[in-house]
Amino acid sequence: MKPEHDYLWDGSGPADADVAELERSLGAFRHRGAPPELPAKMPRRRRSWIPIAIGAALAAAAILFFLLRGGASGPCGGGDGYRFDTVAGVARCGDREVARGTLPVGGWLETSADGAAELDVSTIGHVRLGANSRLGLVASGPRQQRLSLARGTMHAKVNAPPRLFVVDTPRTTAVDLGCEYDLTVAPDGTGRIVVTHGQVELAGNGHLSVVPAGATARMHTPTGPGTPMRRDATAALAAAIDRFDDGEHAALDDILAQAEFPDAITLFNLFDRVTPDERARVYDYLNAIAPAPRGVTRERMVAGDAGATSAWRSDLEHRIYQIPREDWMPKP
Amino acid sequence: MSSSVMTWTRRAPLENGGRVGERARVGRERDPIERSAAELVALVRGGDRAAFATLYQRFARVVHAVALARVRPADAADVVQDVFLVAYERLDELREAAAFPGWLLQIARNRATDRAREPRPVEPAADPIADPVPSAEAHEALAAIRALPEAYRETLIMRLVEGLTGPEIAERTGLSPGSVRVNLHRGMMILRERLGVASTSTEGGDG
Repeated sequence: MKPEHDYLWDGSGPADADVAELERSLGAFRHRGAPPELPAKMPRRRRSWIPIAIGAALAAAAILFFLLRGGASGPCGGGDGYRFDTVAGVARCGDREVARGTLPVGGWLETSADGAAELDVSTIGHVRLGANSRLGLVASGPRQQRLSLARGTMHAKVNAPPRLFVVDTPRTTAVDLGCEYDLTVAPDGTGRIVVTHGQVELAGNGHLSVVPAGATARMHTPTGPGTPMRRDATAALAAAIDRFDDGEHAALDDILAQAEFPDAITLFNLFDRVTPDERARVYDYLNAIAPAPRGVTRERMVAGDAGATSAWRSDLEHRIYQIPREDWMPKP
Repeated sequence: MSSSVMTWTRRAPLENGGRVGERARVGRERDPIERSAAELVALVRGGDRAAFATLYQRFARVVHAVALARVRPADAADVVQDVFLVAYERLDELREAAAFPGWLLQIARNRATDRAREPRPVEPAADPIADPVPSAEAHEALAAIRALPEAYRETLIMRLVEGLTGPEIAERTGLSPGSVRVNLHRGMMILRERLGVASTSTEGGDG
C-alpha cells in the first residue's frame, strides 16, 4: 500500500530533506534555453519514391543544362546565400567583379588591395570584409552559419545562440559564443583575433582557447591557438605569453610572475597547455589572484576534472565581467 | 552597467522571423497547451509553427534531461536545439503521431550519444549571468546520477534537475506512471547509497 503523500513522486506532503536539497542544488542545471530558429520550409508529408525520383531527374537535368551553358548567369547573381555590397575598391565573386550580389554556399568573395565588402550573415549579423581578403561561404543553415577566411581581415558582429556562427581559417577555427570581433589572418594561418563583445572559442591542433571581450590572441602558434591576453596586458607579460606560445616552456615562470587579477583568463587557459605538475603551479597562482570557487580543488584541476574546470571558468567570467577597467569592460 | 551585462548574456537573434516562440494564432477552439502531443503534431504537419512552439515548451525539459544524462552540462542546451530541429525536419517520418514522446526522446538519446563522442578538450562555458552557476556539490550529485542505470538516471534528472513531477514525466516520456514511480524510488535509493545520504522520507518505494 502506498503512503498518502509521496514527495518524490508528485511533490505532495512534506518535502524529503535530501530530495529538496538535491532539487535546490541541481536546479542550476535546469533547461533555460530558447526555442530553435526553424527553417523556412515546413516539413513535408511522406512521399512515394516515384515523384522524388522524377524530381531528382529534373534537378539533375537542370544542373547539367546550367553547366553546359557555362554558368552564364554567374554564381553570385542571386538565390540562397549571403547578400553583399562592395563598399570600397573592387570585389570579385567567382570570376566576376561585382558591386553587389549574393555569395552562394561554396562561393568565394575576394577584395582588392583597396577593397572592402559588407555581407549579411543570414538574419543573425553582419561581416565587413577588409582589403586584400578572400572569404568563402561554407554553410548557411539553421544549425550553422560557417565561413572560411583564407586571408585578410574581417569584422564580425553576430547576435545568435552560441556556436551557430563559425569561421574557419587556415589553421584555426573561431567559434562564436555570441559576440563581436576582428579577425586578421595570413595565408599561413598566422594572425590575430581581437574580441570586443562576448567571447570566442579558438580550436586547432587539439587545443582550445577561450577569448573573452577585451582580450586578444594569436590565431596560430607552433602549439595551437594562442593563449589569450587582455588587450592592455603589460609588455612584459605579452612578451612572455608570445614566447610560451612559440614553444619556450620556461616562459611559464614569467607569465605566472607577471599575471595579476585581470590576467586570470590567461592563467585559466594555461591549464590546457601545461603538464599535470605545472597545472598545480598554475592552480596556485590563479587561486592566489582569483580564488577558486568552493569545491574546485587543486587535486581536481590537476586531474583535469571537467566539472571543476567548468565551474571555475564560469566563476572567472563573472569576476572578469566585474573588473572595473575601461579597456576590459565590454562597450555598450 | 546594464549594457555590459548584455555582453555576457545569450542574446536573442536580431530578428524574430523564424523562431517558433511566436504568438499562437487567435481564434482556436482550444488553448494549444491543452492539446495532446498527437494533436499538436497534426497541427505542425499542417503548417502550424506555433504548435511546434507548444511541443517545444512541453518537451524541452525531458529532452534536456536525456541530454544531461549523457553530455556535459554546457553541451546539453545545444543538444536540445539540435534535437528539435531534427524532429521538425523529420516529422513526416513519424508514422503514429501519438508516439511522438518516445520518438523524440530516441532522437535525443542518439544525438546526445553522438555529441558525447565528439572530442572537446575544454568544457564550454555556461553563461554566468543568464544561468545560475552550479556548485561543486551539484556537479558531484549530477555525476552520481549519471553513473546510475539509464532508466534511473534519466527519470531522476527529469525529477531533480528539471523539476517535473512523476505524472508529468510519465506523460512526457510515454512511460507508464508505475514505471516512472519505480524508476524514481529505486534510482533515489541507489543514489542515496552512493552519496552516503540517509533517507529522510517515508515514501512508498517500488510500487
